[in-house]
Amino acid sequence: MSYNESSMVKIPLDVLENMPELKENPFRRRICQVFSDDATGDMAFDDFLDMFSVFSEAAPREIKSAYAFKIYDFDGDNFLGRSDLETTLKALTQNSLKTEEVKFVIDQVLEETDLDSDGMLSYIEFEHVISRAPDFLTTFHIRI
Amino acid sequence: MSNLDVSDVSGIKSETAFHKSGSSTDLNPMSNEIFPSMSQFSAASDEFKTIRATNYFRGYDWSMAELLQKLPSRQLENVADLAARTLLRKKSLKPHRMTLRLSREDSLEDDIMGSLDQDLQSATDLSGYLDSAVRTFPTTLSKKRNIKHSILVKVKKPERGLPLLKYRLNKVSKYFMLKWRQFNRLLDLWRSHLLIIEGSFGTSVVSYFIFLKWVLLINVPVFLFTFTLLVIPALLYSWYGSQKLEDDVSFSFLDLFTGCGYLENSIMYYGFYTNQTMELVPGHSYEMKYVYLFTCAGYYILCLIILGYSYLRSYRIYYIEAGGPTINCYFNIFVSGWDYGITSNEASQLKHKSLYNEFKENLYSHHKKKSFRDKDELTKLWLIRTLTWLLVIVMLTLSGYITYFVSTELSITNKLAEESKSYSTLKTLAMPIVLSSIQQLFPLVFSFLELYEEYSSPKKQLYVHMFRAMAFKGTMLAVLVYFWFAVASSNIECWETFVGEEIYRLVIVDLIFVLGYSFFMEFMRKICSQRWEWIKKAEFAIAQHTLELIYSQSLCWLGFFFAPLLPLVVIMKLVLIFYVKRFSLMNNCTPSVKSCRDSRTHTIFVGYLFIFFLLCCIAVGYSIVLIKPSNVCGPYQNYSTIYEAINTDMISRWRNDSPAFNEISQVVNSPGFVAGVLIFMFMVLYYTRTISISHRAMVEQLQLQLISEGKDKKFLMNLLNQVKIRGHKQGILHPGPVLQKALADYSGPATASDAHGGKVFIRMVADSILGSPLPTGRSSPSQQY
Repeated sequence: MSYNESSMVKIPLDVLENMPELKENPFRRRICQVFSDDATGDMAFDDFLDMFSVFSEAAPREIKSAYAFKIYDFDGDNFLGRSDLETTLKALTQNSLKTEEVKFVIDQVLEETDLDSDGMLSYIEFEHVISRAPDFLTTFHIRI
Repeated sequence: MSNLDVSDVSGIKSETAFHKSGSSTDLNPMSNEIFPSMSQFSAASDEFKTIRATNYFRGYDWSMAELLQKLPSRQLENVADLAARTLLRKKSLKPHRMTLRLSREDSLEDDIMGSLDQDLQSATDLSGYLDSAVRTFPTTLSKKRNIKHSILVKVKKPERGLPLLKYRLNKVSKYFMLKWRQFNRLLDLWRSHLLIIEGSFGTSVVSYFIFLKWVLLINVPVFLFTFTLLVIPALLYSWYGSQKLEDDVSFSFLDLFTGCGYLENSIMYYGFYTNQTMELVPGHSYEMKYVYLFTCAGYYILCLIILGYSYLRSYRIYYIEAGGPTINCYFNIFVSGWDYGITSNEASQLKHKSLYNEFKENLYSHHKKKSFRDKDELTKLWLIRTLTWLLVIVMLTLSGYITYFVSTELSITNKLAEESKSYSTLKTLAMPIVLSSIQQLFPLVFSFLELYEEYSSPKKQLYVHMFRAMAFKGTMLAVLVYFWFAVASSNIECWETFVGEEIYRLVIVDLIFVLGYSFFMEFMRKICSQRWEWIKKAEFAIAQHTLELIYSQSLCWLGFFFAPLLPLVVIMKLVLIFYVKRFSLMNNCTPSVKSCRDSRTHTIFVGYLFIFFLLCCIAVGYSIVLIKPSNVCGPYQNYSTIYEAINTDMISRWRNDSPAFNEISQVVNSPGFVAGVLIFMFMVLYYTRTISISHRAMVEQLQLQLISEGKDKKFLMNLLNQVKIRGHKQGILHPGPVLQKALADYSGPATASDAHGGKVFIRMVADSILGSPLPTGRSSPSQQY
């Protein structure tokens, strides 16, 4: 692949979604969107490389937490608001929790992490609580 | 993202201790993290544009600087800045961390250039620094490459002399490191197996296999080290030298299990190694007794270094950085709940279900409101727990007694009867079989008891169970060690070989039991589950298997001194166990619904490994220093203790040879010196502890900082609201004493440290607003700048 090709030849989103490493991941669509250049989900080779380098074992915690933040920020406003948290929760449990349970869990999460009480998680707060979650590095890891 | 172009403000970063320490987040309050969404603050941006516009003509953003200084979050920093000037600045090359700057990637380059120290201008240092700095940026690889390239071209490359040499060496070494890393990936042991396991079962199960691989990788290099230094010379000497060999005993298959017979006088055990001076290369003598001891010492020291390092690293990650017991249970499920390595449908369904269960459990326990058990229940519970612990202790002593009894009755008499060639295989294997069966059966009793004990969380129950199982193993090994050193050493002629044989048998029987467990518990259960519906497939018992690994490794360490080839046996055993378990797992086991967050348990496993290693070292050390070696075999015949061999022969020879060494050794042996070393070590300990306490205090300060950054928003919002209100009240914003008075009356945020400063500041802002007369209350947004 020539240097130009590596940033221009793109794999479409539906092919990427069926990749064995991403097939079962509830966030696969969002992951592809985050790592692709134009936010459509079609990835060039450079983007593909970026993605797996972030998910590898050697990526430092800062990078992983930055990209985790981007992935969970579904509406792209640089904050994890209630809607983002709700979407994440529904993806994690496949919609099986009831509405008031969802609301309660999100309240708890915000209570634990929102330091300035504005109802949203900014990146600083997110990074701060991530540093206290020791399992994050082991689970945010795709082995290839 | 932000209409507010405040990139100019970044130049005002104050160089406080927070920045230099390299552990802080970026404390630039005017970055776009402050303003939640632009729709909310479009008016604010207009106002600020006004302020900026008016000052644009003045040529500098003094009001911005003032604004920054008055923010609540900065107050803490001003206090800290004062203190920081008295602190010792750590001059490290660690770059300060960049937080997420989604819209400011083009300014990253300037940030790096700005934060470089002056003496990093040489290309060699710079590229190394850049590598570590650029690694933490959350941008794409191509952008990072561009940034690094654009910075490096600005720096002059060295022309000649030493810097040029360093530069070239650096490049060459980087090239070779890259090639080495590429090669290393090919060597990655069992990578495809681990992939398959992780895909189907998740990270907690694969952690057992990674632990196995790690233990194997510890064993291989240390074994090679001792093999070349110890075993090969002994072999060569026995073939070519003048060592008298025993009569040939024929090899039978059972010898592999019992370790006796053919293997007894082979290279396997201590008894083979000669105490004569070997002359392999004419002219140079190779004293086996020194070699043996020092190689063993080297083996243990190497293992100590590796284990100590990994335990400390694990402890740091999972205990210190995580801040001990985790309090953010909901958030942790959120962010580390989904296992990104799962690739099979069955596992992912199970994972979804287990996450759902976890949330439900937390909700339930939250609503249950931590039942304060009434006094009756509490006392009953404590009674039950005391009883079970008493029972455990009784079982411990029972197992110790059984071990001792079997050893004295069967092992020794069997060994002594061996002289008349009337030993039976079963009797030799009796002790290991009894030991291993106790280790398998007694934990089942605990599991039964634990149903009554009702610990508050399943994690705690697991830890208690693990502790009891390891206590059993430890006790039985301790009783055995006592038996060997006290009883066997005085009754048996070549007792070290006997000990080596015993340990070898323990290892082999342990292997058989592990394979048997795999066969019966996992394979048969699968067959039964296919036949009868009510029997379920087995789940992979990670904790139990890891503890077995730890036990077998500690046997290896204990037995190494008496049987130098034991690590080879253990290596082969580990490889066999890996393949058996892996295939048994994939075919016979079902993934478990319980999600086992294994970060802390991993630390505990490494901790157990380390503790057992230390205990083995103590046992072996005891035998070296205090027990009389046997007279008929081994390199230490006719010495009173092994330590004496070193002392009398080697050290006294050195002492006689050089008086300087004599002096030094006398100083080193004196109590004053030892006390001095101890005191020094305590001081280092105290120093590191003080540093850790101060770091903890720093972390708390930074937390407060984060909270007060949030208050910045409210401060600014209030300020702008007030200015707008006052301006609207007047209709038009025209200079006048009324507005000044109104603004002077404004009571800013009630931070005590800033009450007076706040009013001064308000006045200055008012001045700046009133500085250029505006036609309307709202600024004209069309002002471009």
